[in-house]
Amino acid sequence: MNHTNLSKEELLPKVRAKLKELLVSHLALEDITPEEIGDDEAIFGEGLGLDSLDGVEIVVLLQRSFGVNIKETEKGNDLFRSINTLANYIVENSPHPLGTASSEKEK
Amino acid sequence: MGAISSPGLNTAETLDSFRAARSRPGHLTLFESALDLPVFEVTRFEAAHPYSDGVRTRELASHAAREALADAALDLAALKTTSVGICLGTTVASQLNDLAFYRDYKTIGCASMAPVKRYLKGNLAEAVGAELGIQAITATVTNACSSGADAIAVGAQWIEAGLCDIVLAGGADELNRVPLCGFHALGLSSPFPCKPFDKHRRGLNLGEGAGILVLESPAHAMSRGHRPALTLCGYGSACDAYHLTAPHPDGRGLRTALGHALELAGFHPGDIAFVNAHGTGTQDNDLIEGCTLAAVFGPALPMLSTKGYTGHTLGAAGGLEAVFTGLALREGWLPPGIGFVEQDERIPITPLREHTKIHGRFALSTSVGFGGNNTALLIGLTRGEIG
Amino acid sequence: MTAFLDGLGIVATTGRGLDSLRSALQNGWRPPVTIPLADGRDLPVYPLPQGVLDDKSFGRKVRRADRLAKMALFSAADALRDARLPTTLDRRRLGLVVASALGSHATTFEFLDEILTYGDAEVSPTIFSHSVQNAAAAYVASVLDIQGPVMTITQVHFAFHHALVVARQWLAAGQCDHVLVGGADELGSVMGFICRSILRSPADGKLLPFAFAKDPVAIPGEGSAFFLLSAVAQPGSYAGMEAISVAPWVPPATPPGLHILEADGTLADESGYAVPASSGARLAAYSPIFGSMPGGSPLQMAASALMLKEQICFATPLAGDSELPLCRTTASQQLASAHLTRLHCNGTAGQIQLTSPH
Repeated sequence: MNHTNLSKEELLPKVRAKLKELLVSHLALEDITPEEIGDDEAIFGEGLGLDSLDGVEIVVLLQRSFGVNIKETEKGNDLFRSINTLANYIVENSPHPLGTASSEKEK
Repeated sequence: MGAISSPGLNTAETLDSFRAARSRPGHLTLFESALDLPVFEVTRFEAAHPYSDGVRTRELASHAAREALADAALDLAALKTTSVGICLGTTVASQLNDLAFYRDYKTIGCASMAPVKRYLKGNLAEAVGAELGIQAITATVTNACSSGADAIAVGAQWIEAGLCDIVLAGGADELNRVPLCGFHALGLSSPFPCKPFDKHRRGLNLGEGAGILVLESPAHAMSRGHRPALTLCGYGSACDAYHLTAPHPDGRGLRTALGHALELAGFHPGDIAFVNAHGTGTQDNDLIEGCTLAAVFGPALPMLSTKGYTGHTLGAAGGLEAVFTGLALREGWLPPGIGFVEQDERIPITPLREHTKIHGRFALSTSVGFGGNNTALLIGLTRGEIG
Repeated sequence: MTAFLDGLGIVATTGRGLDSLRSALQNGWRPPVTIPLADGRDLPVYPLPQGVLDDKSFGRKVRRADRLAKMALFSAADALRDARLPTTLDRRRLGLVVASALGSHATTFEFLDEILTYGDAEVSPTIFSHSVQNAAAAYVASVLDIQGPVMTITQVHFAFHHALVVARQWLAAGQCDHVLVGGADELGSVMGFICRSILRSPADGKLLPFAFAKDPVAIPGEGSAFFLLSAVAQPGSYAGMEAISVAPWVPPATPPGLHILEADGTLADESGYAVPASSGARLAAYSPIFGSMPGGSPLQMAASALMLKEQICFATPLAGDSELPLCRTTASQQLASAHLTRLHCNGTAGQIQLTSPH
């Protein structure tokens, strides 16, 4: 489905890295670096400790940065559980999983 | 009392819509947006000016204020010799959010100062005072969705403190692109007409309007031989102190506000005939508000749920719903809640499914806002009045 | 009823806290900072000093907060700490009123930018929720655990005065034992453009509060000040607030030890200040310290509160050769009361009467 020539296995680490960078910069997580975020760490609650406002912000970030539209019915699912689950979803559903130009907008 | 919103240009038309259980959500016509969400516009309102940020709110407010003054048998000439206050809640009218202004600034580096000058002339309460030609103490409350109710509480306190004999108090907001985009981004907007408290609710619809009460000191009313049918018996307000956009899961602020309103009025929960709930149609609000109301009053308390008729009118909501509460007490009946079909098993209390007679003379209206504000107004039939 | 100012916090061009406020008042006028605007012009302003909002002690709680919310939170937190209330305080008996003249304009414009850049369906919910006028109050309430009534008043004229009326009434009615009440207003790039377009900057960087000019000069400022108001004076109280009104100007009931005129160039016509200036009391005006702000009353009241507690009168900056009875020298002295007057073009005055706790 995506427009790169990379396989899913090649894409996943790149997508995870990009996701972590986006979360740190766009959610103003000043006390942590992208490298410190565990791939399987819980994003909400215990773990990274993000809240409901971060959740809806992530939906918009994914839209802008990866062109994925998370449907209402998917929001409650495990897709938001960790970096891994998000990265998997992006690789499965995004037309450009390496990111878009709008993701480079200055914060 | 004066009210203008989707169900009607005045209280009489509003009651007609409630009698017929008629709701008119529609597509956006006031301005352009890529978002095709159901909204509750006041479609037959003949505004003096074409749609423009903030100006329509002032016109809606003035319109409702005029009705309220007429209902209170007060003319503008009489107000010249009275100490008057105007306290109004709003969101849109207090923001410098003129998109055309900002677009010009961003793209060509300069912009007309007309919207800025209009904004700097004062704010909503001051502008309404100027439009009506009333010399008044004016204040504009910007407490998000509880603004209208909070403004009424402030107005009551001005009278108690002896600052004014009469206060025009309530709220107004026009439909506006900024909250339309914002609530959608928060995932709080429903793509179909809202279903407050329903199991399958998907969020709110925005609406617009103004709801205004004329509050009067008992001494002043007596001095001019006027007997208001309704009394503001109590009010309470408390903050969840929890989160910018999410309510406290235990509804603690709402409980405190309800308790305070009852205490101020000297009442118990059993004295309340019904509650006008905030009931926006969002998952969180309806769950927490519903559970809290059920815990305080019991699940059998009749609930007036009106956002299925009006949409969420933001700063106007608290004012409009105070008017609807007063109207219901005066008329003696409650309309059914629109959009409610199936009970959410987590919420023990439900909106009414059919027109219901009221038994009792006192009611509460609750407003719950962004930032965790919770306000309750306790309104009653004045002693001697029968509903 | 008298309400007591038992705690004070300030974040302004003078810096954060009372020591820097005291120094600024002692040192008098200093030149404004010139900032470049997007259109290539520049604007003299009195901004917050660099880094004053870099406090990390609130941690993650303020990671998304904008400048307005931060300045309100820091000054409110300082006022609360300054009041040294018991830790057993019932948080439901603590209220909050936040006033602002121009509100959260900077974040509002940022949200408008989102709409233009990304379209209606793809805007940031975080920026929207911070653009609502009560976002600053929401931060103060949630970080400081204020569970009583919370209100935001946003209007160009007398927002702070109305906030004081509300706060005092909550105390008088027994709704609260204490109320944190204050105001906050910020500069911003779009607001800078607006100021440049409609205000007249003085070439020498000096505001002239005693010129009572029909077309006064202005230098925009920003900042926040908060007060912990109580029904009963705590030890270390700054002042008692005897009277607060928003009405046509009347001379104070008792002549004050110092009458502070809040003339600062934000009115189109400031000639009306000649009337309160001739009421006979000794005068001062501190707007040359803070800059021009329609919402500047909390900062002026902070200066007054400090003077009343410490029994000192700071020289009014830029007195020049005015023949008015001005406080021209900074000196410790008995100061029984201070009165503040801010006018509106329509003749309404916001007046605050404070008395010394001594």
